[in-house]
Amino acid sequence: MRLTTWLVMIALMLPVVPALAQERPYVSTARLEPGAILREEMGAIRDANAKLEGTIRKAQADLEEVARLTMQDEREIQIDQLFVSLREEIYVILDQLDSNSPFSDALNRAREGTLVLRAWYQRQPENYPNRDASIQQLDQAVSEYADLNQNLQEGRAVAQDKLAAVIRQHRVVIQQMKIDKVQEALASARAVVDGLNDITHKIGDIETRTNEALAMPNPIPN
Amino acid sequence: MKEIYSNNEIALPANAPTRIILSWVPGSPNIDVLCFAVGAGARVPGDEWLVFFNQPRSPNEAIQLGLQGQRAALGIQPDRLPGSVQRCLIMVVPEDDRGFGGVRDLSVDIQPPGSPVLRYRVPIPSRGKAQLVVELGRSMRGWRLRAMDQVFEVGLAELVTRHGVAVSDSPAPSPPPVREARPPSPAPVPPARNARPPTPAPAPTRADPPPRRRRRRLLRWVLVLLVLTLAGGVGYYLYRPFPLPAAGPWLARLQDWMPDTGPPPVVADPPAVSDPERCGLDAETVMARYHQLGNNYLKISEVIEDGDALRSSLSRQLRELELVCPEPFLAANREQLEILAELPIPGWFAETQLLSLCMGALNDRVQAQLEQSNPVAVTRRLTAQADDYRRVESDLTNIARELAYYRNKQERLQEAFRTHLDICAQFE
Repeated sequence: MRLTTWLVMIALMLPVVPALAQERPYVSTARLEPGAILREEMGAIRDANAKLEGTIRKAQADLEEVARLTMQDEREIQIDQLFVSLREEIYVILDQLDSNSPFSDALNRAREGTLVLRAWYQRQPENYPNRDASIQQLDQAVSEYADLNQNLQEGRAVAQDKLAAVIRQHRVVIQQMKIDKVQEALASARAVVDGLNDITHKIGDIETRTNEALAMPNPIPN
Repeated sequence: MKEIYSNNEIALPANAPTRIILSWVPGSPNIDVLCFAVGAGARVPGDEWLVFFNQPRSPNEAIQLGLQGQRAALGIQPDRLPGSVQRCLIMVVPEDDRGFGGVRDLSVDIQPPGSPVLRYRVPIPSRGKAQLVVELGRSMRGWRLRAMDQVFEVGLAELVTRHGVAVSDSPAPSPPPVREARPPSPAPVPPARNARPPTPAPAPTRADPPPRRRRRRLLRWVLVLLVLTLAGGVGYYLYRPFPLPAAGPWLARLQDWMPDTGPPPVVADPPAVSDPERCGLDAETVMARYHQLGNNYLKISEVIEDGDALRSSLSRQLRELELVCPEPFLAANREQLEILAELPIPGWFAETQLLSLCMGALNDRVQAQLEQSNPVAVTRRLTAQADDYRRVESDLTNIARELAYYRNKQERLQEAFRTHLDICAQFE
């Protein structure tokens, strides 16, 4: 393209340039809409939970299979694989419930943002439009987020506890198998597997709380 | 030999080849090493810009791949790459169907010309089918190399098509693959792979413009940018209803747009607030402090987001580590704790509260003036001023919300880095 063509194009653009150069708000690329993230991350947690439920069901069926095996080595390999796969599933859940996970970040962002808005409304004069109703609504949102955070911490504690149980019982069960206490070993393994349902129930609670928080009438106007 | 870690960056000279050697432990499944030389949209400018075992050289021999056993050596000479190539993505794809399950001790030795060798021990992911381990990219200051650990859930075939390589089902007319040069792995023979590396369809080679034309084109762009910048500045000066902000924040903002290539940005201490309940500032000071706040908020955001990315990377590395934590790992955690401890987020949060109060007062004042009878020209000016004040007030509320979140995130990050150090201390 010839230089003169460029100059004509620049001349045509000049009236637009001041508009582009106007003051723009300071927006970090990291600024995100917490509601959308909560919804998205909840979906990921729900998927991981469904996978864990599937693994629990499969593990229960596998244990019945192991009971029918006659070779000790084969039984040990099966039990070993079962415990390792359970452990990996719990790691995935723990990552998602971590205090620095995207879900936790979105929850804290929503809660802190709501607190700032509530403080802003509180600083306004009493006759500011919808002041008290807005404060009341934001208070309710803060309370929902606090409950959800409590649920999240409980879920993390349950998952951590169950992981410790899986690791502890893994060793116990393998040792029991070696001394031919197969039925006792399988009973211990079944107890561990059944106990994992506590995690799936807790995540169910988190999901219910998240849906309640998200269903609130526009807690964070963006 | 110096160790580097995920997200570490180094500058590369462009006029000599940088050697990148990937090696993994014998007994691990074989790994395919691929280099995508990509341009806009992370797509290759032509099929010839995917370098892998079946096509071990790119045009101009800018990228060359050599394979021997559990080693792959890449030589990349940036100044031979055409302008259409912005980045080179070096990826690894295990041949084993279990993904990275059986891979052990994958390391990348980087030897820039005239510099000592740097070793990057790649954190092996527990999931995924492919991993981006090294990225070379153009930056404002020349070529840079970055250690990466980005995992992909897609296999080789999809990875290749995603980067714009045409996949042909029919075998290439070229001589048979050089794959035989690679001795078989001593590991048990893995099951046959579902996805063989696709053969790039023959594509016409794109000739790069001659250097003189390239220089002229570059000069033209520089000229255009210069004129646009000047015109923008003049336009801003003529149309702006506010006095221009000081040059400092603009420069700092420009720096924030640049890619992060150095130490974390320095966040200034907030101005002292004598009485947070009362605004004693004039409009001009409020605006100047708003810009100061805005720039420092962006820097805080950068420090926190970088810290979070590093936390995530260090957590992954911690899982892969042997019982003893290496010193660079400990140093990275300690350094982050220091950076976070010095971040004056509460002070800047208090500043948002004061400026929000001031902006409310300014808004009220303009509103009162608007309610008097004024000539139309004055009313227009007051309306424009009210618009600006309202926008700034809204922005201040958003910044306050973000800073409140960052204050909270700062504590959670500190806790995470302290936990890393505690875990390492337990194994000492």
